[in-house]
Parts: sequence; structure tokens; C-alpha cells
Amino acid sequence: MKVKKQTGQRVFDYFIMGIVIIISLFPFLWVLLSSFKTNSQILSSSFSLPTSFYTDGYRIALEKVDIISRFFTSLFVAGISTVLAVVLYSMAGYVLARTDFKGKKIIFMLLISSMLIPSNAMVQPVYFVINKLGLYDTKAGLILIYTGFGMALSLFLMKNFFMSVPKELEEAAYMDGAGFLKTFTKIMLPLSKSAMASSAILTFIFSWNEFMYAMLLTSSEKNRTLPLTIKYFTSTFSFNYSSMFAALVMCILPTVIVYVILQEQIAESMVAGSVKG
Amino acid sequence: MKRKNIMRILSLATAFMLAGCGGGNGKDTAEKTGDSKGAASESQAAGESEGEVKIPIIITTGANDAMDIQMKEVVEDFNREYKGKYQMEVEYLAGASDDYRSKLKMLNASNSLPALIQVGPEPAFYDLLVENDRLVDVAPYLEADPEWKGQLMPQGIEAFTREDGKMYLIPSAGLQLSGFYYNKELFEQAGIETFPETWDDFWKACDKLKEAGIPALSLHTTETAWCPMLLATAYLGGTEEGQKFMAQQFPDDFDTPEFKEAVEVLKKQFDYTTSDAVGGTYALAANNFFSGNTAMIANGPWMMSSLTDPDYASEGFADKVGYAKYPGDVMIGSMEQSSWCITTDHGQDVIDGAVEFMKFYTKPVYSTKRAVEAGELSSVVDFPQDEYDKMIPPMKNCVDASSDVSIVLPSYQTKWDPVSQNDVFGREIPNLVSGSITVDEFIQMMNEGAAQYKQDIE
Amino acid sequence: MKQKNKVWIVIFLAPTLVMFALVYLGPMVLALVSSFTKWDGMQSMRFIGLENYIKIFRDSVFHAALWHTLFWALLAVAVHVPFGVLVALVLKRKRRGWRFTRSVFMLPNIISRSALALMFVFIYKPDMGILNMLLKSVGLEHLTRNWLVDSQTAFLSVTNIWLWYAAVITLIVLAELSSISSEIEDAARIDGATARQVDCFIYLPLLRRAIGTGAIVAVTSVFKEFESIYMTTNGGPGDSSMTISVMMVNKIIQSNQYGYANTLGILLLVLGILVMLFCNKLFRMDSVD
Repeated sequence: MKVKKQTGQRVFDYFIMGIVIIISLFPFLWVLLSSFKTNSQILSSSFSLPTSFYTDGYRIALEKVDIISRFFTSLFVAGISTVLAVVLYSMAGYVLARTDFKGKKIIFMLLISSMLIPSNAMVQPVYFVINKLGLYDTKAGLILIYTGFGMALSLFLMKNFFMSVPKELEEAAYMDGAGFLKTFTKIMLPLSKSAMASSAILTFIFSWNEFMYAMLLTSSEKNRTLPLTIKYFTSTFSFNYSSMFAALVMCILPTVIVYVILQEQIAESMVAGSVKG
Repeated sequence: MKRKNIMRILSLATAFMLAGCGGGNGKDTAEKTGDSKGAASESQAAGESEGEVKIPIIITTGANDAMDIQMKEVVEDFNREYKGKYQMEVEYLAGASDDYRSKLKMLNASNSLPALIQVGPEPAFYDLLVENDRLVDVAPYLEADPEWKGQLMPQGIEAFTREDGKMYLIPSAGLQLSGFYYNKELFEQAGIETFPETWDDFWKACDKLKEAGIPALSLHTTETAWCPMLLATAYLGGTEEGQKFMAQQFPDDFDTPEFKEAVEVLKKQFDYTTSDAVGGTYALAANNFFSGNTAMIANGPWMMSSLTDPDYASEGFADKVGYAKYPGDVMIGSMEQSSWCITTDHGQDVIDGAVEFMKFYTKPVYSTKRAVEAGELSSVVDFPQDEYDKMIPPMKNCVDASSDVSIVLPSYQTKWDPVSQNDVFGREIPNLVSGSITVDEFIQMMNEGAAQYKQDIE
Repeated sequence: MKQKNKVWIVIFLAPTLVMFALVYLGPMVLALVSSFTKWDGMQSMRFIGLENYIKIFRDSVFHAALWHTLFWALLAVAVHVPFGVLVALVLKRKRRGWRFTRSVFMLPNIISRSALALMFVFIYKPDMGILNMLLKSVGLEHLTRNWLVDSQTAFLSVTNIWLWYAAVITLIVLAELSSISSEIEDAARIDGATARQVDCFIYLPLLRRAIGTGAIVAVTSVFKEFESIYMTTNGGPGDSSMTISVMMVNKIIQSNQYGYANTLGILLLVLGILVMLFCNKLFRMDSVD
């Protein structure tokens, strides 16, 4: 049954989509284009396209900071945090979704309440704990923090996903004599790929971008992550716009690439389970 | 010949600083020292078994400060010389003073400050550290080593020795005095021949530059508005009342005619600056000067290293620059700003290492180097005449100016409470400049800030 | 069997609980304890009961910060979430380019807030910023200003950094939409309903819980919002863009008031819990359809 086309609605829809594209893409394009301009070009006409392909901004940015090694530190920290988060929270999420025990509701509420804790403002108490654990200026310290900060969202996603899986599947597995662990690893985990992917992506993006803790909880160059580079350029080279923009592009780019590769996963699944609970 | 002159001005400078540092409450600390010693020797036992003693320190790299650059060199030399015994463990903090402060504040609450810290611009924090026995009394170390004592500026030792004989700040061999950097080319373009020596001439020069289409001053409002505040406080040096005002530690009454005039000066400067000054950062202001957009910037000799750094200024730029006293024969400098403190957060072996490092740091060879490179002019080491001839013009000016200045004021950062500094300067200056608050309201806020600070530390 | 499961439950849950204790509970307890003390970051905390809490409610900076924080929460619910929902409803119709739009919309949400804030610092610059240049080029020169430093516009300019980037809301709503069968819509359309009527009277009620989740996510994240102010105005000029989380960090860094700062943190947490309960009620999230 075809419904009569509504031109007005169509125009409205495209109008909204146009706005969304402009507000989302515009800052990125501007920064990207500007990173290839010379400082004076940026200052005189921030509109225009770069007249020549000026890459000195990148050269200076690369020279000043060992961006490559920071890139790998970031990759390591964000990668491990992501794996940990997926493993821990899929286990916890499964238990919270599919088993019954005393205090379950309270535990879940408690864990989810971590979403409300203003992490950026808790720097000092968190540092206190990290220091007591002897994890100051270690990658392990950052990993612990990042894995922890991913808790609320990942747990939420995983739990809701497991709740949406039909009970029969599990019961069938038990009938076949599979134990708790086997049911989880052989039946439930393979099903939850999409939920795991989205919690992985979200944890990765958060860990990759985190700035405040990375600055305050590390002190040696080997533990410094990429986002701190932005800080370096804002405090030292805030007048050298080409280098600033170049540094910005280099910090943003990996996240964007990860996202572009995995975006379908995010879009489809982030939310596959998120609200059905 | 230079040396004598410097001695004279330095004694003048200390007269003001004395009021600040000698004052603190000595009785409090005297009672507590007992247990801090105990804690120190306890950790000493733990530390001794290890081979090389690591001495943590943070050096900021954000501001391209000549002193930081020098520090880095000294650390490298020290680590080479004391290999196997001591090792300076440096955290290079990619930021400026604000980031250094954030980091210290966080480390502080867990008793894990670096072994050597600089708290010059934070007198309130310094007081807290002293009251809580977090700093090492270096007086005994100085007494035990006359040679080291001789390397330090005597005025500094005098000023930093408290009533109870204890001393927590280690002065270096000299003092950096801030003044005006000015672009001689732009001055010529505007038809100004010499740097104005009175305030009347100064404003006339600003008007001339304005007429010639040149923003006279590089200004900014973030980072507690350092550059414009330097100029405003320099204005206070013009009167005796103003000088007295600047001598107060944590003044609680800003409602004086002198300070009011200083605030007017603070406001007036913004008539002669670039469009990006309000809301701008120090780095931006400095760059405006380096790229020839503005004719003057108020700052200290620590900025000299940037003048010849190709990342900051074009080649030959340094030759176009002059350095002058503030109008009214005034310069600004505080010994606290280049002094170091040793913390008690680590074992005795680390404290010993830190003392060893400070001895190394204040060796005449490095003091001379700092005098030449960073304008930290010393009353202890002779200024090397052969180096003088090789220096860039502004550095020559700096040495000359510092040698015959008649009034030296301390920096407001070492004198005023943190609440009025951060909350009022930090955030109200854009409002003051735009006229959304009046000068009187601004002063009222300063008073409220000072009162709040008093209440906070109770 | 049951007994065995219990062991597994403990094994599965323990690491997460440990993580929670280390990263959240420990720090929160420390914050809670110190909120009842006068603590300048040195060894001794001095117990002062509720004095910090009483003082905070008399603090004019806190009044400004609280108002801004609540105003943001309001904007999150009244603008941010509706915009996200609107985009979801538009994308649902799968017009040409809807996938591209959806992907692009997510971009500002996946980069770090500091980077995004920094981009806006440049956009708002008085001289080289593209916003002023744009205004000038269309003849609206009188509207140009120093956006982040003018006390009239600073707060709104900062707000603008997050207000429209509601892709998370859009995704949540899109996911819920995909689970609603399209038969309902078809039936309504046959009866002559316009697309807008379908959106308003059929989808919106069904999306109640998704929107509620979105509102909670949005409000809690603006409560925590820190970088977008820290990198731009740091709360100024004056108190014109101060929020609770920025105030908290300033209290520690500038005046060593750790106890006072932690009191602010606790208040922020309480505020968050209240909002969560409120949203739960408002969107009747507990009830079944």
C-alpha cells in the first residue's frame, strides 16, 4: 500500500539532515583545511581554501613531540582497557541479567550509579587511591581508571542485551548438560557479539580521548598519551595555528578512522540492547 | 664594576621582601619539628639499601622559560656527575605555571610532592607547607657548608631566614627583574626616539603608536593577566604609599587611592592593545610581540631565550628589541620566584640528594650562566664582561637597567592571596575592560576575595 | 546445580565489584568523609560537621554554578534530547543519505571533548574566528563579538559546544524505533494521518522509555561536563559560565580547599541521583507498555 508522497515532509527531512551534516562536519573540515595553511593565511582569511599544500604545521608538530610513541602508548592503554572492560562487564552483565540472588538489584543500582559520579572532578580522591596502590605513573594505573570509567555504560549495554536473549536457548543448553561457564562462553557470548562490539568501541573511544587523568596520573614520557599533545600545543604554541591544527588533526584522526571502520557496529548495536531492558 | 651596582639594588629589593618572608608564624613549626625528624630517619633506613637515590622534580616546558631551559642543562650535568649515587628523576610537564600548580596540589594531598618544588608565586600554599612541616629547614645544611652559603645571594638568605632561625626557601645567586621589551623599529615608525621614562610620556608614546596604527601593548587576560598586572603594579612604584602597599603580605584592604589608580592603569592599557588581548593567553600576547604586531610587552628576562628561538621569532628580531625599566625608574622582581624548596615527602637520603643538587645548581659556573642566559643577575658572581659584548641588545639593556634601577617592587603573585588573585584577576578583568563592572566594584571584589581567603584559612 | 551457580556468580561478579570499589567507592568514601572536614590537603582533616554544606549554600559563586548546572540540565532535556529525537525520526524515514548523516552526526561525539572545545575556541576567536568572519561577510558586523569573553555570551557560547551534538540520543531512539513494527504506521497512514501526526501520536508515546534513557544519559553527562569549560572560559568572565564541576577543581587548585571541593562533588552526585529518579518518574520508565 503506497502512501501519497508529502513534499513538505520531504523538504523538512532534508533540511534537518542538511543542518546535522553542516554542524557536525563543519568544524572538522575547517580544522583540516586550516592545518594545511600557513599561519598568516589562517589569520587573514579563515574562510578560504589553502592556496598551497603547506605541511610545515605537521612537520613542526611531529618534531616537537614524539607523537608516534605517544600514539602507541595510547593504543596500548586504550586497547587493554577495552579488552578488560569487555571481559569483565560481559561476565558481570550476564550474571546480573540471568541469575537470581539476594541483593542483585542493589548491586546493579550501585554499579550503575557510577554513571553519576563526576569523574573529572574526582581527580584528587582517585589519585589518592592510585597512589596507595603504587600505580602512579604506570600504564596499569591508567588502564585501571579507564576500565573503571567504562563500567556504567558497558554494564548497561551487556545486561540489557543478555536480558533480551530468549530464556529457552539457555535452558536448552542446560538440558544438554552444559554447565554455567560453558553456557556462557559457548551460547551467550557468541550471541552478544554486537553488544560487546559497542561496549568495546565506547570504552576505546573514551580511553583514547581521556586527558585529565592522563596528565595528572603520569609523569614520565613513556606513559604519556596522545591527548596530552594537544595540551602541549595549546600552552606552548597557541599562536602557531598551523601546528596547533596539525596536532589536533593527528590526535583526532585515529579515533575517526576507528569509528569509520566500525561505525555500522556502533550504530546497529550500541543500542541493540540498550533500551529494551 | 657592575657587581657593586647590582648589590645596591638587591639590598633595596630585599627591604620589601623582608616583610613577606620573615613574618610567618615561626612558633607553630618549632613545636612540630620533632616528629618530622623521626619520620625522616625512619624512611632513611628503608632507602639506604637501594643503590642510586632518585630525586623527583618537575620542570615545565610549556612557557619556553630561560630558567627552565637552564634547569634542564644543570639536571643533565648533575646526573652525569653523580651517576650511581644520585639521579634527578624529571617529569617534563608540557604546560605552564597553571599546570604545574594543578599537579602539585594533587600530589600534595597524598604526601607525594616532588623532592624539589617551586612555590614562589603561591605564598599561601608555601605557608601551608611550612605550617605542616612539609618543607625541609635548610639552615643547618647552610651552616655546615660555608662554601655553599657563599654561593647564595646573602640578601636572600637574610630574607628567607625566619624569626626562629629556620629557612625553607633556597635562594639562588641572583634575581631577575622584569621590565619592558620594546620594538625599536615600531617606536621609530611612530616617531618615538627613546623609551619613555615617566608615565606621562609613556601614555603619550602609546597615543603616538596608536595614531601610527600600531597596538602599543601586548596584553592578555588569562593566567591571572600577568603582563597587564606587571604594568599596573609597576605604577604603584611611583609613590611611597604605593611602594608600601606592595610591601604588604596578603593585604586585606585594596580600597586605597594608590591601588585604585593602578586598576585604572590596568584598564587603560587595553585601549592600546590588539583585538585578541581580552580572553587571550600569554603565549598569544607574546607572539604578537614576536611577530611585530605590537610595540611593547611587559615581562622578565626569562623571555630572552625566546627572542632568539626560531620557533618564536624570526631571525634578527632580537636586534630590533630593547629592554627598559618601567616608567618612573621601577622594575619588578621577587627572589621567591626563582627559589626552590626541599620537601619532606621522601626519605633522608632523597633530602640529602636534593641538597646536593641545590649545591650543584648554585655553583658559580651555573649562576654565571643563568646571569648571561636568563638575566638572573647576581650579587655573588661577577658578571663576565666578555660575555656582555656578545649578548643580544635587550639583554645588554637588561643588565644595564637592573644595575641602576632605583625602585624594585616585588611581584604581586608572591604578595597577594590566592582568592583575589585567581577569582578576581583570573576572571573579572574582561568585565573590567568591557565596562560591565566599574573600578570600584573591581576593588570591592578584591576586598571580598581577601576577606574570603582570611576566612578560608581560619 | 544451584550451589555451583553461586560460585560462578561470585567469580563473574567479583572483578567488577573490585573495580567499582577501587575506582568509584574508595574515592567517593574519601570525598564523603572529607566533605565533613576542613581539609587543606595536608595530613590532618579537622571534623567540622555540616559546616561546608552550610557554607556552600551561602556561597554566591555556588549559586551561579548551581544555576548554570541546572540550566544545562534543563537545556539537555528541553533542547538536546528533543533535537536528537527529531533527527532520529527524520532518519527513520530513510531518505537518501540517511546513513551518511547518521555517521557524520556521531563524529563530534567520538572525538575528545577537549579537542572539540578547542575547535570552538578557534571558531569563536574575535579576529580569526570563523563565526565573526561569517557575520561580517553577511553584513551583520554589529553582531560580532568576543564570544567566549563577553559576559553576555560566554555561557551560551560554551553551551553551544555540546547542545546540538545529540547523536547518542539519536542512536538510542533509532534502535528503539527499529524494534517497533511498521504495521502500526502503515495502518495510520492508510487512515490518512500525516507523517508528523504519526511521529507525534504513535511513535513518541512508544519511545517513552528510550527518551527517558536518553534524558538520563544527557543530564548526567552535562553534570560532569568539564573540559568544554576548562578549555574555553574556565568559568569566567566573572562567574558567568561557572558550573559545579569547574568550581570544584578551582577550589583545590587555587585555594587548597579539598574538603570544600569534595563537598561540591557529593552535592553533584546527590543532584544526579535526584535527576535520575525524576526522569524515571517523568518517563514512567518502570511501567510496562
